[in-house]
Amino acid sequence: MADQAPPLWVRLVRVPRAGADETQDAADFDLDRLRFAVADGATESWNAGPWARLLVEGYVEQDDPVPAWSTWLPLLRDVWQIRTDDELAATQGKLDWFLEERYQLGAYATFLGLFLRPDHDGLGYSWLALAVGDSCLFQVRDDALVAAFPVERSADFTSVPWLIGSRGGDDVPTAHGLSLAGRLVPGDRLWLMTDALACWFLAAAERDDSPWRRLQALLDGDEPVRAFEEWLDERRAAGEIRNDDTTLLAITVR
Amino acid sequence: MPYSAQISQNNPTCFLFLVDTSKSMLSPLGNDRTRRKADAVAEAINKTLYALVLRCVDKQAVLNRFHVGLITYGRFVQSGWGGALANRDLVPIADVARTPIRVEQRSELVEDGRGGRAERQIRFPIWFEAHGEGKTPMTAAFEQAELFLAGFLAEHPYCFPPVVCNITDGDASDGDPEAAATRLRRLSSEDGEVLLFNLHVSTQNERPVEYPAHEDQLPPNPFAPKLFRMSSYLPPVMHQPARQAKIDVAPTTRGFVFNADIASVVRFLDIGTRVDSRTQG
Repeated sequence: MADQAPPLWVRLVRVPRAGADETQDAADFDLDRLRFAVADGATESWNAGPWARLLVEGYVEQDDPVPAWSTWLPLLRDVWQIRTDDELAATQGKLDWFLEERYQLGAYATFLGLFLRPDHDGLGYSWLALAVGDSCLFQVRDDALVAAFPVERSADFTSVPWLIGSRGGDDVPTAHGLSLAGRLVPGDRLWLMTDALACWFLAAAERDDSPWRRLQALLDGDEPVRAFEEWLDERRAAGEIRNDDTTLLAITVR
Repeated sequence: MPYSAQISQNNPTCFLFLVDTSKSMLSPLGNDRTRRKADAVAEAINKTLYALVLRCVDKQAVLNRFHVGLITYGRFVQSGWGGALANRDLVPIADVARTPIRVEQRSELVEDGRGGRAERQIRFPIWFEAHGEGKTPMTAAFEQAELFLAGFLAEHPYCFPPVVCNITDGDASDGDPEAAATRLRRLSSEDGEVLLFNLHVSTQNERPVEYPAHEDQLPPNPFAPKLFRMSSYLPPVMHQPARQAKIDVAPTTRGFVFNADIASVVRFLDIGTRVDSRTQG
C-alpha cells in the first residue's frame, strides 16, 4: 500500500549545544513502518541521552499504529533498569553519594512520536502524533502553519516540561501524554524539533516571519548539515535560540 | 526580558538561605506538635541542598552552576555551614556536594513501577543541623546577605539574579528590617533584581497562607503584612513550577508563605530554587 502513496523526503539534523561534544537529544525513523520519533533527554538526569535513544528506537519498532504506553514502555524500563543496575554494581559501592543517587533516580526525556498511514486512494497520508513534554511537530501547507503540537504558542514553553522517566511508577505518559491527528497531501511538510528550535519557530510564526522558509532553504542547499549548524550558531550567538541540544527532522510529501 | 539568563558554569547564579536560629525555633511546629520548628527547617534545608546538587551533576562531575550561601541568625549572625565548610560564605555547589558534615543511611519508600512500593536505601547528606539560641536579628542577616551578594554580582554581572530564601518564626529583634530588605532586593544583575522570598513557620496551629497576591489574603497577625511587603513577586520562570505544585499564581503573587507546615517549607524551597531546570553547561 505504501508503494502507491506519494513519496516522502526526509532530512534529519542534530546539533549538540555549544560547548558539548555529544547531544542528549535522540531521533529515529523507519520509512517502511512510516514511524518517526524525537526525544529530548533532560540534562539533569543520569544518562538522559541513552534513555532518549531507547525511547525513539522503541517507538519506531512498534507495529501498532497507536501503541498504548503500557504495551511498550515497561519493557524499555526493564531494559534500562538492568543496564543501570549492572553499571552500578561495577562501581562496587565507591561512588559519591550524588552519583549513586542519580543512578537511582533514573533518566528523563520528552518524547514525540509520529505515525503516517497512507490513504487508500494513494493521494496522501493521515498522521497521528503522540507527545509528552515539549518536543514539537509543526505542519506547513501552502506557506502557512496549519498545525502546532503539543505546544501551540511560544509563550507556553516552560522550564519544566512533562518527561517520561526510566523508573516508571508514575502515570506521566498516560496522564500527560497528548495526541493529535491530521491529514497530509503532496507539498505538505512536517517539522519535528526539540524545544529550543521549536520556541524560535513558533515565535517567528507569531510575527508572520514564516520560519519554515528559512529552514527549508537551509535543508535544500548543497551542504544542509553545515548550513544548519552555521545558521544555528549565529542564532545562538544573537540570543535568538537558546543554547541547547537541537534536533530537526523534516518530512516532505512529494 | 528579566529573569531569563541562562545558567551555566560560566554564568552561575546564587541561592542564599537565611535561617532564623533564635531560641523560639526550638518550640514545636503549630500544625505538627511532634516536631520542633528548627528540625523541620533543617530537614528542608538539607533536602533542598541535596536536590540542588543533583541538578548540577553532569556525568561524573558536579558543574558549578550554583553558588550557595547559608546564613543563620540567632545569638549570632554567621555562616551556617558546618564541618569542613564552616565559616565559608558562598560555596560553589561542587564543594557543597563533596563536603557535607556527614552522610546518613536512610530507607525510603519508593514506587516500584508495578503499582506497589519498595523500600530502598539512600545516602542522605547532612549539611545543616538544627539549633536555636538568642533573639531574631533579621535586619543584620539581611545586611550580611547584601554584602555576600554585592560581591557575587560584581563577579557575575550577567547572572540569573540571586535568590534569597529567608525562613523565620517571628519579628525581627533588631529594629525594622524593611529598609534592609529593600536594599537587598534592589541589588541587581543585568537580568533583574535579587529575589527575596520569605517563609514564616508558626507555633500556632493555623492554616498556611501560601503565595498570596494581595495583602487582604493575610491572617490578622502583626508580622504578616511586613513579611509580605518584603517579599519579591514570583518571576514568570517560577510560575509553572508553582502551578505544578497546585498553587494559584497571579502576576502579583509573592514568594511568601505564612504559617508554613513541613510540606510547605519543602515546597517553598523547591519553588524558590526552580530557576531554569534546563540549565546548560
